[in-house]
Amino acid sequence: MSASQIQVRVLLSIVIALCLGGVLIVIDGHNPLAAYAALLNESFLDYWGLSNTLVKASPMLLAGLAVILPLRAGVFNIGGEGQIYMGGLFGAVVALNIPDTPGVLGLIAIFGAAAVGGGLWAAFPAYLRAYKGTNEVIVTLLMNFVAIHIVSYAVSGPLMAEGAPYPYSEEIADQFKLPILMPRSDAHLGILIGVLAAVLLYFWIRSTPSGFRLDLVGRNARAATYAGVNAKRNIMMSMIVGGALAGLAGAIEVAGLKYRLFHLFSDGYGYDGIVVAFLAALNPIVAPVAAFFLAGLSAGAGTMQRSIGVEGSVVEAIEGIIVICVAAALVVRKPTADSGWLKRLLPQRNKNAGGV
Amino acid sequence: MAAVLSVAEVSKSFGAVQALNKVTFEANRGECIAILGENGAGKTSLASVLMGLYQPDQGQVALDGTPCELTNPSVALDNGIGMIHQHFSLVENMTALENIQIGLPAAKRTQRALRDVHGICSDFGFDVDFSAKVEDMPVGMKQRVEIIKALYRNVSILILDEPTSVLAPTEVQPFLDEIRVMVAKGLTVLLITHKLEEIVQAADRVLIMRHGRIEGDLVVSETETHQMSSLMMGSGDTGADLSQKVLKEPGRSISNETALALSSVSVVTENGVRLLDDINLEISKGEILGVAGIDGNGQRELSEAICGILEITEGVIVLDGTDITSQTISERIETGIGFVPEDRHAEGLVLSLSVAENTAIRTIQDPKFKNGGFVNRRAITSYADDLVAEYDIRPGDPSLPASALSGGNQQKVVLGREIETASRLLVVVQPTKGLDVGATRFVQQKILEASRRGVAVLYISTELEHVLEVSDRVAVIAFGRISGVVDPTTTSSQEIGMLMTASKGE
Amino acid sequence: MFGFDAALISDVLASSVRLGTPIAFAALGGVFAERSGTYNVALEGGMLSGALGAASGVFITGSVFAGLICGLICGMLTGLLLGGLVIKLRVNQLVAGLAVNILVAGLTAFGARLVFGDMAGGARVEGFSTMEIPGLSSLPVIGSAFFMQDPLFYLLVVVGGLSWWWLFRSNAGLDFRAVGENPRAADVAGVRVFRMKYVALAISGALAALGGMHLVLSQVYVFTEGMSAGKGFIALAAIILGRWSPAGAIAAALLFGFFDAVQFKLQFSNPDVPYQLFLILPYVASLAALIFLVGKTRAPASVGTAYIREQR
Repeated sequence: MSASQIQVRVLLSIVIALCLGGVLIVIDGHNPLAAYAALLNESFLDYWGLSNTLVKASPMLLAGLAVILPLRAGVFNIGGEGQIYMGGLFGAVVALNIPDTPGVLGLIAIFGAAAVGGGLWAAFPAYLRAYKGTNEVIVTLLMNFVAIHIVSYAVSGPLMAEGAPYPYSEEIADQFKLPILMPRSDAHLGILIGVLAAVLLYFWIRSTPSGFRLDLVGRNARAATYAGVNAKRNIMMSMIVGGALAGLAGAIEVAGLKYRLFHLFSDGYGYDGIVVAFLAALNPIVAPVAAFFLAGLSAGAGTMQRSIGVEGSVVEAIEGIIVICVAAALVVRKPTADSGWLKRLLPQRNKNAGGV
Repeated sequence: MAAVLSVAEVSKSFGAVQALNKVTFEANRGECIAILGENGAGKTSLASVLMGLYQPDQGQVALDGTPCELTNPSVALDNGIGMIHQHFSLVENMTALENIQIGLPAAKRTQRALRDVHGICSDFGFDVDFSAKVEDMPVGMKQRVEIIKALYRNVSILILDEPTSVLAPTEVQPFLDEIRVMVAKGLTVLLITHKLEEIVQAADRVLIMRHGRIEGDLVVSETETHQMSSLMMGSGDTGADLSQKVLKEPGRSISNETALALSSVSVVTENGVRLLDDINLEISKGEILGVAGIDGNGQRELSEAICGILEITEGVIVLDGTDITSQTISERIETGIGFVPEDRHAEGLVLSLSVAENTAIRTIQDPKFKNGGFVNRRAITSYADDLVAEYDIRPGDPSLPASALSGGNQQKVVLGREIETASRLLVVVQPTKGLDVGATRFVQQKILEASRRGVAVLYISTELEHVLEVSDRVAVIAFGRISGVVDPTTTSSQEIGMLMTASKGE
Repeated sequence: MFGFDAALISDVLASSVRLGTPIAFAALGGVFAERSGTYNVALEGGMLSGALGAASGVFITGSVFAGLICGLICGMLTGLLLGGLVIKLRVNQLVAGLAVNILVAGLTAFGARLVFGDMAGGARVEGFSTMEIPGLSSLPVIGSAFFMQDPLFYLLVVVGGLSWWWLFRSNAGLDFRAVGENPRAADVAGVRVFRMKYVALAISGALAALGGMHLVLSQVYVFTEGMSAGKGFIALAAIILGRWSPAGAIAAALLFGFFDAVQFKLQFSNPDVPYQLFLILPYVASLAALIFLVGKTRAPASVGTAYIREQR
């Protein structure tokens, strides 16, 4: 399948998913067109809505890249969520310990620490996968919960702000707060960091020998080995860089939006990253668009509910439908002449037993 | 009395390839018929028709005189035809008795019914530990479990596909004896093999296949083995001298400087199977050494050992005076080893990438593909353009994904890439697989050109004619050993045939 | 830390069993899926769909039994959806499982609002209450832990036993295991491989759903979004720790339940000890199980791969 065919299939899947989501909206007793129009208006065309979308898009984008890069090397990083938490933790600890450092220098230290935190958290499952053959999906999933509880411990214990009613840390110094892009809104510089990362990844994979080789591993590990590529090392590298990107997302949440480390500060962005990766069909340069779209959907859930009265959680259902549709669309083979689409959905018995 | 099995005028073709061409024979109760032939001679296709995997285009199969439509394997099994493949259909971590029960109706699974299994064992003299897990069994016992599985399903015709290829040498004789016991009990055994001594020991009759035809239906006790091998090799009736077709220019001079030297190279698996057994080979600069042999005798392992994919357990590999035994794959590529692997889809190409990108996958670090540390796609494309033109790869657009090309054109992409980049050694495995006559000639010319540049070439193929056409010397590989090295201008098909089928110690 | 206080031990054991039961159901479901050759990463989704199904069923009809049936159907549908994706379309099993989880998370969140309206999150439903087994329940220490539980726990014990018998003692179970180990061999021997695989996933989904139903009908009596909270993923580790056997998986799940119970106890009784340490324990134990047991124990040989009949 060529890149354009893939994008066409993804777009078709989105259309199908939106139609199915429309059915859900009808079940809820509302007009889907009005609902989608409201969503479009509020999430993408309205100043405040757009800023809200951008705020959500930046962690989603980085989390999406954290899935895309390892998957280009054939590894499933489902640990974005945990890596975000570790990135946020490392970044916050550094930020709280160097309150008098000048802004830029401090930010470099904070983001560097966040990248290290996320990268380390990803290195462990990567090592297990590359050298021990342990299933990375289950390991990264389980490590997400560990990371969440570590942060929970940190903000309700050693990092807890004095007199805080909930578990959260002290505020970071003012010079570490990311600049705001859209005045008076929350939209901060984070989205640009994400887009920059997407562009860099795109050029890395497309235009450097090391990126080319990493991509080979994911496409055909055996042929890559025959071509002299060290698959294990590439698996490690892709996961660590992916984890570092997710770690950056954690730091961005801290330095760009919340200014503190909170218990449960990431709202499932690591999992949204999986959806972004699918929507982008693993192309980093498409990931910003995918994240923007998904963030808009997610940000629009609340507004849709307020303006039209549609149950906002329908958006989550639509996201789920999109993932299923895209997953299926990317593997469905060209239908053969004798099988209608309905027939393809039903289990067939013995059909090929007499064939070659 | 009608024959147990009669096959009449059965033909089957796949596209332009005639896999079976009016195959006709009969088999009787209590008879072992060997089916002898080179790779692609039609042995497996014939077995597949009998097992209901392939439907014949023409002709029919009759069992006990009744015409029979064998539409799928379970129909074949219901009609009493069972087959033991080289890859066993056994569940490794279940016991033998459990394996025998899988899929049977409840009536055949009762304790009482299963006593018959022991009856089968004592009838045929099988020694099987039914409570042991299959994974803990030696290969020979696994094979017996497969056979018992078939016999417990009341099979009367048993097809054995290269049954001794998986056995250790010491296990072969007892196995052949058991075939005789089965035959004595009235079973019909079809023994697919290419080992002449087994035919002499176990078979009553031999069918010799070549190009989908039955070239001979002979009584084993009345036939000399060299007669069988020459019928198999196909020159017995024409008497043509193979060396007449040699492509090389006369008086070709080869440097006496050694390029590649393998000394005592062995690859032994954890189970002690010797995939490569004490290989000693030398290739001079500019020389083409052909490796002939029947498929699966160590060709793949030999090529992979030289190119660094398979780690050798014993011996030394030296290229141009440098010991490369412990070099990585990429180091060997940089040294100047080109490699055309056997399976171009899985090993040679990345089908989802473009043809252009595929021309660069092994040498992306080459300065000609780089521009200040970055991949120079323009350079790759222009290189690919040249290669596509030079090797007449169609369609001639290197931006297409490799999956869009036909098998033959895919093969040309791999060949072109490796022939052009090999500066010291070129290892090619089955280079003409899937190519038509013209393309085959062309590829052979290209390989000859590479040798004229001083590149040493290891030309591994099961197509004996092609090997003889291009090689300066021909090594014959059999059972992981080099059974002989011959001069293609003076050898005969009989000589090579005997070397190919010669097992250790002959 | 606890001393040898029998009442306390008995109390912790009882809550271990209660907290471990949902994981045990899901892990048992996972055993069926993996024994048939499919990774069921969608156990989490199965639990959620069962939880919502049960809550809605009880809410609408007022009958706990109807809720149970409704939850089972939802679980089976989840399993069959996964089956369609991995068996028919041959989507990567891990991708498909994750996709099903995301879908179910969204659909149940939406479904809950539809069914319960604004009460969502607070709509209490009828459920099971504790059922005492006379005599046994008065045994010291273990009496209240194992014989004063809700009916679903007893169902777990019964289903676990039946599963063991079916998998390892029945003819169909042998064929079933053969499918997971070597589908080609099973196919050649006449087993209906594809049907077996679908049935396995339907069972798997239904069992995972029972885990979710235990949360709703025996623990909290309400449905909340994402209430399975990763228990389906812990179940995946319990399968490995339990070496793909029903009894082993249930035992491993109860061990995870024990960690959870200790964590709760600590959170209340010893606020100085960070309770998160014990929240992490189940996951760390699962990870350790994965790391140290992989290689030593063996998954069913064909798990993770799609069976393609034409490739002979």
